[in-house]
Amino acid sequence: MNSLAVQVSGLHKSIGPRVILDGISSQVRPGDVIGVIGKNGAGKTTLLEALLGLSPPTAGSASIFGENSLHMSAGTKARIGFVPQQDELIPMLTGQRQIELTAAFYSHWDGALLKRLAENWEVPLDRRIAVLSGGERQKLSTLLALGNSPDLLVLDEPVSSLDPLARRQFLQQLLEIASDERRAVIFSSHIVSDLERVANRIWILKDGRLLWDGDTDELKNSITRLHIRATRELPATIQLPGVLILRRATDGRTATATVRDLSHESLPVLEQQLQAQIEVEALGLEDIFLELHS
Amino acid sequence: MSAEARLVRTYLLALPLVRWLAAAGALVMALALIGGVKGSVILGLGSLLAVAAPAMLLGPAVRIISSGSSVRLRPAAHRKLLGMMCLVVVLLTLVMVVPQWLLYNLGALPAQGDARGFLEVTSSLRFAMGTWSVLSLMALLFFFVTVKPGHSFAFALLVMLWARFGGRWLDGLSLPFLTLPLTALAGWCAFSLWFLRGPRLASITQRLLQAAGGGRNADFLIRTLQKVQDTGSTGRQPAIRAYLLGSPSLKGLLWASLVVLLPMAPMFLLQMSSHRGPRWFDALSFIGLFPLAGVTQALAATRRARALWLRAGLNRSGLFNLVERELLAASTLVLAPIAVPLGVLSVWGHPQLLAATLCYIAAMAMIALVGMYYAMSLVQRMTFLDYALGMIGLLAWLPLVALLLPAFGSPLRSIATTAVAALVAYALRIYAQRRWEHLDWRVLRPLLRVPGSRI
Repeated sequence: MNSLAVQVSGLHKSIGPRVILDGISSQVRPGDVIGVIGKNGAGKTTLLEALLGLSPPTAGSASIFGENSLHMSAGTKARIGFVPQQDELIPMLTGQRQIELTAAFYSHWDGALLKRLAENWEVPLDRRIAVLSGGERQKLSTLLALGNSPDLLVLDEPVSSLDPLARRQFLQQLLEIASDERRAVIFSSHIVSDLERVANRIWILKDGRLLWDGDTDELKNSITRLHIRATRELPATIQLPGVLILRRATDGRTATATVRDLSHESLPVLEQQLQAQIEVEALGLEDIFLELHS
Repeated sequence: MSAEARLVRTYLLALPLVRWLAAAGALVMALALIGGVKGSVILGLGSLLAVAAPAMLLGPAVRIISSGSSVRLRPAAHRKLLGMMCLVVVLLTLVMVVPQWLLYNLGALPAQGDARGFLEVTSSLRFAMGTWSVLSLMALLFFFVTVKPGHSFAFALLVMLWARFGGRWLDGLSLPFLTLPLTALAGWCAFSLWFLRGPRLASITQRLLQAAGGGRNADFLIRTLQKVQDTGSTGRQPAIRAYLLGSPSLKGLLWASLVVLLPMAPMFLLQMSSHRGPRWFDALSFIGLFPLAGVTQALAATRRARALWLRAGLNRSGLFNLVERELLAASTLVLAPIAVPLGVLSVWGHPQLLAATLCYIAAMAMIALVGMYYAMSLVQRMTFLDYALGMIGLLAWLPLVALLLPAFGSPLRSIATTAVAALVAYALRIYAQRRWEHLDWRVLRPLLRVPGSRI
């Protein structure tokens, strides 16, 4: 069995003149919970759909469990669970009927898990899907993706319509599911605090490129904000190693800088150079996301 | 600039398809005008090219914009949107009428035929009224298509019944030419009342219907259909069918087709012996149903096939075959409610016409297949060829078939039509099959649902 759940190399996707994905390469191992973040239009959904073979890439390739995602075997497909951004439920059916029909596609179906989750998440399975709320439909879509006990679970903004309570409950369950070391989860969301709670790895997409691909903690340690306060006016050009953003205050004596891979040993030297006090602030994932996109 | 005018401008300039077609139409019209009276047919086609897309998309656009769940525009913007709809229809009418007026100067000619009595209207005014009516009804009809397809069929049925029987009634009053404008006017009045006060009216109607039904939900027909669809086994085949066609059982589809099409078939049959003159339009509507059924089913199934990509375990060509098989079964059931009454009526009333009727049904079935394969080929970004094929089919081929193919006419014409349609369907099948190899569900996403109850 291939040890990688997903392997992406040089994935490039254009629709007409617009480049959506621009040379994405990465790997996902069993046990990884990957949070995908990016602005609207950054290419999150396209990336997830290209990974699953729903959208052929213009160049490069994606493979799942060692098979090219455009030509996956039935066995490999049966190991995948997918929650699309826009659900694919059948409005005329009841939730229960939809589950039964979906189960017909799989040789292994964990009905007991679904029953338990439906009760926990309060999904009214006896009602027609057409009359369910957006959040209920989203929960039902997630249930359908979990029924076949997938080894790779891909969720495209699965919590966007859920209330905070339901979101917390959902993420809790997701953590339980992901705690199984044989499973990999790829999870896109705009709610960065949720990703911070769940994901052990982060993909940050910007303009179709993977701006960050690594551990969540490593990302948080890597990006820091420096508050520089000088007693006299700071020089016109401030040379800081790994600076991403530099903002000067109007008084000319203070500045903030967001830097990558700050070496704490270099701080005293910098302080001396600038004749300033430098305070280091650790950033949360949301702040990092904002800084990287500002 | 008033809000309504700004909305009109935004609507007409926002969609690339509308812009391209309008530009092409304007070019054709200009060429036709230079060519003089000889270019009248080309002028008509040019006008139609410029007007067809904005007229058809107007209803859905207003529906989507006014949806409570899309944007919160209530209540003032509903009046503005209504104003915008009226303005667009008037503008499109002018696009149709003014070039004709320039070409013929019809306004100077006296009225012909049955326009008499106290309303001595000119031919150009009659043409303008007729055009305005058709465009108005088209906009209103397509608005309802986006609310609930069942409503649109009911609306179309009412319009057709009125056009057929209301005309006779008005004939007694010597005003038959007013049938269509009066229908459109009544349509606008009813629509305005509903659109501006929709939620309140809907609630009153619902309560009245509930009271009439002894407290039962008035939606009983839909529920009955749902029961038919929502039962049965849970094997792989019903599951595939449910995901592709929206129902695990073909029984539901048959019932729905019967409910929609059965009342329409005899009505059309009564006037299908000749397609000359005004009956050509009726014939076109009837013939248009077949490719329309093929196209809508295939478009929906192709989009829904996305849900089977991971579940059914098939590759793209396997999925193509699966979708094709299911669509053929479904199309047969959709055609059956028309074909069976046609056959029965022929045998019963005019046994000598049975062969002609069967040939006619075969031609219609093949035209439906053309629509189906055309829609199945639209699985990538639309190209110029896709647009051109659609336009040729819609604006040239179907009108020609409607003109040349009476239901009880010569079987030879039906056989020729069947043969041509079969060739086109086969070519489109090959084209569709090739395009499915690179099917991109990123382009072909499920259609956004517009909640029907929240206007």
